Amino acid sequence: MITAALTILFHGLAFAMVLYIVSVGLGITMGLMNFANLAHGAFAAAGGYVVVVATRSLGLPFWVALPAAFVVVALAGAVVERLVVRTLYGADELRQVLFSIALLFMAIAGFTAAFGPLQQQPEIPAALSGQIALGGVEFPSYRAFVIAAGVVILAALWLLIGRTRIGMRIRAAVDNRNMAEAIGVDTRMLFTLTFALGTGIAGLGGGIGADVLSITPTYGQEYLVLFLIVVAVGGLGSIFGPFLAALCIGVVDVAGKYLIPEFGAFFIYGVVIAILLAKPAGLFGVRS
Amino acid sequence: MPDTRTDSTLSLTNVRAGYGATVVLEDLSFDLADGEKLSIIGRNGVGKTTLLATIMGLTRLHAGRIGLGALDIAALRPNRRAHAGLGFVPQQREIFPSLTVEENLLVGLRPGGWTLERVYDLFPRLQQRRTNMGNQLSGGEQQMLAFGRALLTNPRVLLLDEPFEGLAPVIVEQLFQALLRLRDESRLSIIMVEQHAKLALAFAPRTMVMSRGRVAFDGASRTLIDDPARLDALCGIGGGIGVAH
Repeated sequence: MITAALTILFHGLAFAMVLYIVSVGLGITMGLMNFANLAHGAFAAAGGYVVVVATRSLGLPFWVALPAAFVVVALAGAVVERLVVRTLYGADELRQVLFSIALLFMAIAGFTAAFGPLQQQPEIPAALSGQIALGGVEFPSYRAFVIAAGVVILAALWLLIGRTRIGMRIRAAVDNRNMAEAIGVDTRMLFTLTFALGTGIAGLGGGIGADVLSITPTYGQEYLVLFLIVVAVGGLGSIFGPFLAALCIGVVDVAGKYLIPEFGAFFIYGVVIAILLAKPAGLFGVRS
Repeated sequence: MPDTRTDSTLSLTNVRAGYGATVVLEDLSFDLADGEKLSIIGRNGVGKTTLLATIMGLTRLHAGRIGLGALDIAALRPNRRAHAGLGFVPQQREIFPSLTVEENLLVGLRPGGWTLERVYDLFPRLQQRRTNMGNQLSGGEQQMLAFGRALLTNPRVLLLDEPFEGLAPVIVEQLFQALLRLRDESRLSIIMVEQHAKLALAFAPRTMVMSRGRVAFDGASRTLIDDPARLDALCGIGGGIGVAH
């Protein structure tokens, strides 16, 4: 019984952290820019492929590949924001959705052409390839690293958004873009930086979480609903909301599939409906 | 940015502006000298708020020039206008609810004579509530915060849009005293849009009355204080203005 509980908790946490790392940037950009970026998962997949190429083709250490995934995807995000996303701020949601879905399908086609349709796995360092014992039960070391990475990213984002001047400006612009402009905040530059940050973190999540959510060309499409659920339940523009939402969804999903596998994903959608009925703006939403 | 060749701190020349295709301001011109204080009054809906929003770049400018010192700011985005020297206190205060009082003050901070300490000296209540979130303040405290936030951008021209609207009389009196201190102790140019004619005329030596998007009167406040009938005629009896008698 205790073994089952520990197993559910551990794997649920690992799943939750991957969901969080990938989704948190989506929540920030949607809260700040009112832009429904359904292609967000494609940036996470791109990060996964950067880590795969860096570790398998270029022979770079995993610890170099991860920051590279963040930087490469953040730069790509900045370019996409400057060239196309910017033209859709203030556009109706249908246009935004059609645009981002088109971007997602283009990414899927591009990934398929470049890497083939099969799942790709990055080279994991030896230090993370073994098992660790927790409460007398053995778990994969890599998943413990994933859990730790999620907590570190939460702390880093909390410091960035909550304790720095740029974070203060992001929160101000999420609250009221016009007023932020009127006191001198360059919201266009802020949008580019935030979009780059959000996509960069997604790229990092794709790389870190390749063991949990496998990297395939259709990654962005396959897990899109999960990312949107985390953002909707956690609340737009929040750092902590998606963390709690991811914890809830990750643990409930693993528990449901472990204990009553015939119900599939029934439980996570049940939890989502219950939370959104009680709090339509999400757990910590600045905006619904 | 082209030189507007003016000695005024702020100058509007033949400004025509509004929201989208709707024109609210028609061929409006005036100058504001360095350190000058100007009150703007008029009935509801004559374009007073639109005028300030237009100066800040928050409306659509159809025609005309807006100069700030030697700069033509008409094509600049609001954030560039703020950097050029405009400070804005909007009608609804628009405090950032996700920021603490102190963060609201510091978010737009630029170097200059106004510091956090000076703002706390002007509004001691803000220092007492510095760790509260912006949405936890009373209306009066929010107005103080909106003033302080604008002052800490260290503007050359401060735009105040109906700063006393919706506040209790005792709070209005407190804020008005703070504004008078600001008027007397700083070289800041100030434009105050205000519905309370009594306060507006007492605040600035110069008053502009707007009617249907145009300037109906621009002159000494004393002229209107001494001629209530003219003030009533300009602003419209029963137009919601408390006339000074």
